[in-house]
Amino acid sequence: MDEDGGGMNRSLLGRIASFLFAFYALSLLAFFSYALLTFSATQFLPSMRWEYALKRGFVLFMDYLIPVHAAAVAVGASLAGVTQARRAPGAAPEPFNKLVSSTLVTFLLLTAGYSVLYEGLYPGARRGLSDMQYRSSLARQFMSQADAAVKRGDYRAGLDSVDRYLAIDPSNKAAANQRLELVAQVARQSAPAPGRSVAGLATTPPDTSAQGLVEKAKFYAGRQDWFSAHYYAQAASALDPRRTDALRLAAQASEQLGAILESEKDAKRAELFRQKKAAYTLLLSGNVVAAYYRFLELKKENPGDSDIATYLAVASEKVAQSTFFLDDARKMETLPGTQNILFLNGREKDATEAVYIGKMVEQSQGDAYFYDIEAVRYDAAGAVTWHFNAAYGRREGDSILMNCVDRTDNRLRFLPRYAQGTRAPAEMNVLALRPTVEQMRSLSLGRDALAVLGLAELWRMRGDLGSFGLSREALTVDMAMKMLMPCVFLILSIFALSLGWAFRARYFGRLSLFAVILIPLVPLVLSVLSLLYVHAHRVIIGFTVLAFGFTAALVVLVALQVVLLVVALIMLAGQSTR
Amino acid sequence: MLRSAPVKEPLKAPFIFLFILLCATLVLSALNVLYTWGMYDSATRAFNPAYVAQRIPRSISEALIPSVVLSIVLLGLRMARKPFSRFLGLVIVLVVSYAVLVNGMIWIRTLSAKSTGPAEVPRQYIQPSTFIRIGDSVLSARALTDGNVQGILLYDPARAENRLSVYPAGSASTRAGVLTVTTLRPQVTLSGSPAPSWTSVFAADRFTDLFLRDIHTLTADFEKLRDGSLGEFFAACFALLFLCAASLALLRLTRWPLANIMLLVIAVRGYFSLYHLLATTIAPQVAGAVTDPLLVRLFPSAAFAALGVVLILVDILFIPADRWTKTEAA
Repeated sequence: MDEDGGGMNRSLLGRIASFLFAFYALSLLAFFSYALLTFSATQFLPSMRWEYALKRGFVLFMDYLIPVHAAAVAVGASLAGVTQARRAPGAAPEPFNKLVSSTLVTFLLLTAGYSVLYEGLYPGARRGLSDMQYRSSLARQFMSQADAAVKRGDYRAGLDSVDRYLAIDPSNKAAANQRLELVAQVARQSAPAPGRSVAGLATTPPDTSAQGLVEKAKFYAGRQDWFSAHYYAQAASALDPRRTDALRLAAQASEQLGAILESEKDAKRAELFRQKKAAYTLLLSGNVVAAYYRFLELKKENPGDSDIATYLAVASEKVAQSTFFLDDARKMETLPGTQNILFLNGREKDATEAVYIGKMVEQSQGDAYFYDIEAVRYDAAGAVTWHFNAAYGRREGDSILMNCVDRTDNRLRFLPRYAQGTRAPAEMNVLALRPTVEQMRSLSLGRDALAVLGLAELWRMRGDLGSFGLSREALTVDMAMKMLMPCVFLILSIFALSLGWAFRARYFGRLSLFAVILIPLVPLVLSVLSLLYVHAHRVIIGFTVLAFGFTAALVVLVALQVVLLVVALIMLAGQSTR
Repeated sequence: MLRSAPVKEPLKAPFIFLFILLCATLVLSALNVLYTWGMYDSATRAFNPAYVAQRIPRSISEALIPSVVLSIVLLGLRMARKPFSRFLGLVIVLVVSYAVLVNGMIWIRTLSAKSTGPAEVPRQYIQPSTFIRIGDSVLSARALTDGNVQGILLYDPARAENRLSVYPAGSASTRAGVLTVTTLRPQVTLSGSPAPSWTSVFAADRFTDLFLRDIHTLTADFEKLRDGSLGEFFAACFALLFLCAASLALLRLTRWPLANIMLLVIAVRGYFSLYHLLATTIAPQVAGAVTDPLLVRLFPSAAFAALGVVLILVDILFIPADRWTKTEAA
């Protein structure tokens, strides 16, 4: 009897397990294919097709996992008796609890697995999709910038844009070829134009006879053009080594040149000292950006000067504290991040500050780069105190620093542009931020901003997010719904088992083709029903949150789940094996 | 010792139907009350027994049709497990459900007339210092008093720069789910349905939202018919219930009960969508071609009745009457 029970038990579980595997695999494949077929080449780069299909397929799989799972359980339970041997006449039927005990344990394990996927991988996959869309639009923007730059003949800017495009889409062969062409164009553009030599000297002496060269050398020596005199004398000596007069003339010219160079060296030293002092004064006066560029230019001209190297390092360090470099910001721009962040940056009694950030790319230790920043402050009467736009920003402590400079070109500098009002000079390029980087992730205008957050993150931030402009109630309900999903998974599994078993196919010996055709109906119908079930919970939780608050909603949620679980188990226990 | 004789299934069916209907109406009406208060009235009224008493007749009226249809389906499931004569089943389901629906809707009209519908106010969408999305734009206000909005912040993504704009004051109004905010100095009007999936507490997924929309269309049409002409109302109720009762034939369509149930559920879900399609898209086209307004008003119901007749014919002609008893015996 026990052995039989065990056999039946394994049979039910085995049938359900095989249907679970088949349904999971088929639905994953179907969602993957759907994502592949509906891939939008206008929203995403074509090279992202497979990555998109994988992530979107997984997101859809998770969105519809509950009805797919319930359908597999119902179909499995419904067809569990199809291939079983008939019970011997008069034999007592197996108690149903023996049939389902291991199935219930399996449900618990699957619920744990679902929770891990729902909290672990699902938010990341959704965030990945959003990142891909942003990076695609950014890449297209770079490519159109490159085209525009090439059209106006600015190949260097074009190359820069193509390089930035390739950082996002490295496998694009057309862009790689375009880059090679642009590299050649840039090289051609920056090659020095053939010009005249110093002191009017031709590149090659037209007169190639030694006598002629000596005479020319004498001529230039008479005019005290010692560079030319030395050149022609050297040339004559090289042509005819026996000409001692040419050698003498070359030596004389060299001697004269040395004297000149010595006096020029003193003047240069004095000039260098004056320039170093000026740059040092800038550094001391706090104008670190100007000082940095001065020292950088001096370094180029005097690479071995230890004073310049020392003070350039000091200036660079100070610049990094008050500004950041454009190339760093641009390098980060192509990385995944959070887009379209909008939040209230604190609301005082008589003033409100609102901030929009086009994109935020996070770094380690809570730092981040920001792109396309806009902020406005207005008083209680709605009068704007100030309103600015800034192209780049970097998080420094609790602020955004918006003073962006080029590493080498001192003309290229990005500062906030004030559309209305102004602020104290010390605050012009800085904006104090209230939300942390982690909180800003959830302040995105993207429709799935909260969906990409895990339950733990939502729980941690629930107290603060409301003050940034998010609806506290909606946030609380979203959090409660996230808590609910594993319970929905488990309870609907049990209901589906009851449904499948109660309406099991007892009247046909094997699975017919018609039945196979009808199987896809089951997940379809159960999707409708499970979505209604989830929405009913949302109404109850929403009402409780609005009327009584979060704690009461949690109590109601737990009580409701206990009641539903008991009802589901009673329904299951009421099933007959006859 | 006296043994009680087992009650025959056809005799039990009406009572089971009424029991299921009572439970379904209770649950759906309660959900409707909670939803209505949360969605429309929470900003202006407290939730208390007086509110529930005042609101419940209206909620029952809105939940009655889906409750009756749900009860027919659930009774059908029982009839699939404990089958009896299909025509007797059809008659029982049709008579009991018709009596309940027609009487219920007529009686509840008197009670629900006293209860005011949910007041649509801007406050249900605009919470101070909270962003709401209207179309692609996003709006936040410092304060809202009786339709007057102060300190309006507007985010317009269509602009390349200066996407944030601030307006000192404006007015807000709502009508049929559309929120309109008009700012002063300069005057800018923003109008649209606030996006429910972004910040709303009661946001339904798109499939459920469509289902609720279809139910609302059906209920609103039936209420209009009831208030306009009882004869038309009776006919519309009959057509709907006749189609649902005839659909129980699907429960005997194949030898796999679970698949039959799925067919029935998907068919019933489809009827709601079909009604919405007929009432909102096809009926206006019919109105253009036919001058008789009665025909236009009852066009969806006539289509339902015709579909019901088709199902009855399919049942008679193609589905074995004794599928279960025959197979049980086998």
